[in-house]
Amino acid sequence: MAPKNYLGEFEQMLLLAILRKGKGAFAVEVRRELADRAGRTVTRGAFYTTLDRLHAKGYLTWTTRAVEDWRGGRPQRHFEVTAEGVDQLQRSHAALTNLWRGLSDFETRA
Amino acid sequence: MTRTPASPPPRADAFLTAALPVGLVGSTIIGDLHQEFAEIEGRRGVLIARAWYWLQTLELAARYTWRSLRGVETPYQRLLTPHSTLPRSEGREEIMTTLIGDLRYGARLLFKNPTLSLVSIFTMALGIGLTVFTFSMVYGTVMRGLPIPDDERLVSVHTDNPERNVRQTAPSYADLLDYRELSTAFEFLGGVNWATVNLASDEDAPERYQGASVTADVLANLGVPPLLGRVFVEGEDDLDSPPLMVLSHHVWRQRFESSPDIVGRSVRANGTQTEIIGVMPEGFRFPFDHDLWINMRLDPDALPRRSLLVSPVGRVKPGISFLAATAELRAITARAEATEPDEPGGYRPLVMLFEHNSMPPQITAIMWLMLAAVFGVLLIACANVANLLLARAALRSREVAVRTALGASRFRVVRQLLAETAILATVGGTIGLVAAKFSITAWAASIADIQKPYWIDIRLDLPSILFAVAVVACTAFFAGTIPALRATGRGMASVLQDEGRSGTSFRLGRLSSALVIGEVAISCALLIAAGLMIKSIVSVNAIELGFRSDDIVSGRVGLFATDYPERANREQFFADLVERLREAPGVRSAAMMTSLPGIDAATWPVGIEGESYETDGDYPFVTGAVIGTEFFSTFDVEMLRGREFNVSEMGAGADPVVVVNDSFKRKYFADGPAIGERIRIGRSGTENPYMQVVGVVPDLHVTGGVGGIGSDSLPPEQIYVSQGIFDVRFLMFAVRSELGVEETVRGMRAVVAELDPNLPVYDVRTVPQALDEHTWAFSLFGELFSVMGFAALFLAAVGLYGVMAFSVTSRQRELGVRMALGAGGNDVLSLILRKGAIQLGIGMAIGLGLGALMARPMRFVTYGVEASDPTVYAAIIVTLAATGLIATLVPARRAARVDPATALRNE
Repeated sequence: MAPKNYLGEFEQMLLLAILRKGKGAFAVEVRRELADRAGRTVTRGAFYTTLDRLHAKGYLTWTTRAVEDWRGGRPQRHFEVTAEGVDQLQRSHAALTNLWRGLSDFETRA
Repeated sequence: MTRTPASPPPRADAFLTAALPVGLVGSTIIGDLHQEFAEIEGRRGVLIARAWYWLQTLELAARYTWRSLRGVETPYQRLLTPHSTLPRSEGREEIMTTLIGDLRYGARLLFKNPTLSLVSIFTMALGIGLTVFTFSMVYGTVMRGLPIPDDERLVSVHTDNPERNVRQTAPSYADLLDYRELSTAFEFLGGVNWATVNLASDEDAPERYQGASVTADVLANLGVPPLLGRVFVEGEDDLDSPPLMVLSHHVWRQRFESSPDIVGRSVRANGTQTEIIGVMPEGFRFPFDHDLWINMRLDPDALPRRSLLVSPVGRVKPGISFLAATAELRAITARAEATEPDEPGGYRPLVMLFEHNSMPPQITAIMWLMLAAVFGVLLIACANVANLLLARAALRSREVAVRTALGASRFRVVRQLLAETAILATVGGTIGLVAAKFSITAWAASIADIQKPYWIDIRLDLPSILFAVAVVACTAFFAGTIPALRATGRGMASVLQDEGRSGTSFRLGRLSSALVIGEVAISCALLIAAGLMIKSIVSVNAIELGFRSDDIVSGRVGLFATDYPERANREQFFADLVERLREAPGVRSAAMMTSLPGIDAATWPVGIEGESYETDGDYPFVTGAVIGTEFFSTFDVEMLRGREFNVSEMGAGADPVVVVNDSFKRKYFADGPAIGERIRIGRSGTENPYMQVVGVVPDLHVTGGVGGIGSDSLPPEQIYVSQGIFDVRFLMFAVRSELGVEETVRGMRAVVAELDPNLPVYDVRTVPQALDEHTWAFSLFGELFSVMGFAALFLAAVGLYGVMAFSVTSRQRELGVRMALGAGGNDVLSLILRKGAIQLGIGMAIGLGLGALMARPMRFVTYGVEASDPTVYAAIIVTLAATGLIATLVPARRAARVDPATALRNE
């Protein structure tokens, strides 16, 4: 049975950015990665609500750590993509790759 | 380099904490923000960082709020688990979360239906705003009361004498002394007289103040202690006590620059050296709008018993009724009269609430009527919102039935609907309150110059706000309960059965019609009130004055016995004044008088030579003024017969002469020319001389009373008495000049200053200004009633339209069937119109009756219009019928254009 829900474009980008930053990526870093690598700046609200949604779906988890003073004493969340999340990413990727296959004429632009 | 980093705005954090999810997640998001804030602050400075922080905050808050609104489960989900709700925050009271859930769901529904919500909110804002505005006005005028302890026992004493046709005058000083000595009903009973006080000192120009001459016990017993110094003490109202003065706060501030060592200083008051002994606290202007107080020093034996009048003010003892106090004073008066048979008797004192002195019961009645009227508007607004919600409730009857079927209690469903109206009323109420606040401020500014009792203070304060909250709660309740109960009142089976076919089964019919009829009735009544008011304003503006008022500037001067001891001094001064005024540059003519034509005329009893009058009550009353030479030519009044006064008729000892108006001539000298006849002021036993009529003038319009209220009761017969007959100390002068107002005023002041540099000129204004000041009450009440009337008309039209439009939509299938069976567009049109016309007709019939009832007490504030004025009623019927028909016609035409196939397919 074909999986019903593929990840949205931004969801994929978010998960990929977390994977790129390695274990324990935190939000500020992830946002910066998205901006640097994908040229994607989203509003803060969209960013956090998407994180919440991915968490609710079980594609990522987080742990908190107490950190330095310059966060006003507030804890920091460190994100990690779950196995399910990786699985979803791979499926989305595979679906896209399949669709791209044979369309090399259009593949020129990076 | 070390520096302390700036921290993000704490208010933004508080805002975020409220908007973001509770617990760790929210905290970490704020932490992220802090982290980035520190970086941005380091790179680009604290200002930019703060701005950035606020932007992020607002965006986040908006996003999370929106999500939480959208994230509410659907009613179906909720019904399956009736007591679980989102958000699933732990530890909250279950009932609280349910309530919040209700509110969120309500808000979401309102967002889904923006037109309906906006109309409802606007309606509520209009209704609540008008109500709060009017309440603040009524509260500030008649409810808040005097800022004096136990003001409900503070009284004044008036006296009537039916035999002599005297109403509500002050008793004599001798009476007051008797009362003070013999009465047991009062904690204290003092006397107050109004006194104009000219303050002069060596360095400053003289200024005129409204003073009160009081007995020593008045200020001491009112219960308001002085701010500085002291008030009068016992014995300081004796004849031989020195002149003393207590200042009001604002005179102390303005004239004496809040000087701390004011107490003990001496000033010249009306020419007498007077010592200042104290300053009253801010806002104390007893008894009306007074600037300062002087000690009353009267000699009770200097004048005949009835000649020296003093207004008593006192406080009755707790538990003593005004009636009992009145009875006691009457007994004392009767005993005194019995011992002095030579003095005129028959006086009947009356103890009344002090506040009623300056706030006649008629005005109070109008205030309450206005509050009632505005509640009418609010009722219409509620009915409108109820109707709109009813319409929606009809569409939602299936949802409600499903919810009930799945186990939701009726209470639960009603509460959900009430939550929606609560949101509407709160938003509408907030808008209304803000609008009311602005209107009240503007209103208070517009009446700031009108002379009114000092305790009248119209502002939006705590009672008004509490009132507003109560109004909002009641509005939500009434507007929500009817549709809510209605929507849940039906058996669910019937709804579910026929819901599949049509949306029409929910019978809005009778309830909705009743609401519309009620709306039409109330707005009809309010429009009648507004119509009478508007017609009254038109009548006031269309008054034929009978004299010319433009280019004329007037002022007033008053002479005091200290500076002008003899009558001859005063007459000389006035003669010099008018002569010099006439010689001043640009002046065409000038005249002296006790009151301007058209304003504040005196009312006198008169006797005509040769007539006999059985009792004192039979003497007729006339309005009149004391005037000098060239009065009529200054005001451009043509003599019908005879002539004006000449200079030889001024001053004591001159032949007494009088000019009468046309009404007077017609009434009393219908057969003759009137010239040469003789009349005198006063009743039997008067020592006033008979005056010879030397001229007849046309009727000049006169207003009187409070702001023109009560002018209708002034007798139309007028007399103008020559300046030589009475010894007057205060006179007005009017100058018609070729120069502009400012130059004329400067010229007038210069003339007076030349004659007496210590004499202030006051009440300086143009005659049209003076006339406006005396008709303000008509425009004041007129504007208010008009606003309410049109608000009501508008709301009723919206209501009618809403109901008709909904009824057409929900009857689409029926209409489609009718048309499929051969009914034409016109048949459908007349079907809908007939229904609207019937509702309109019934509503107007009830409204006309209500309006006629309201019109009766309004007589006091209308001018030149009968309570049953047929043109007003006809105009209202036409306006309301036209508005109602248009509101019906629009949806009716839509119905008539329905394509039957479409109508049936929609099912």
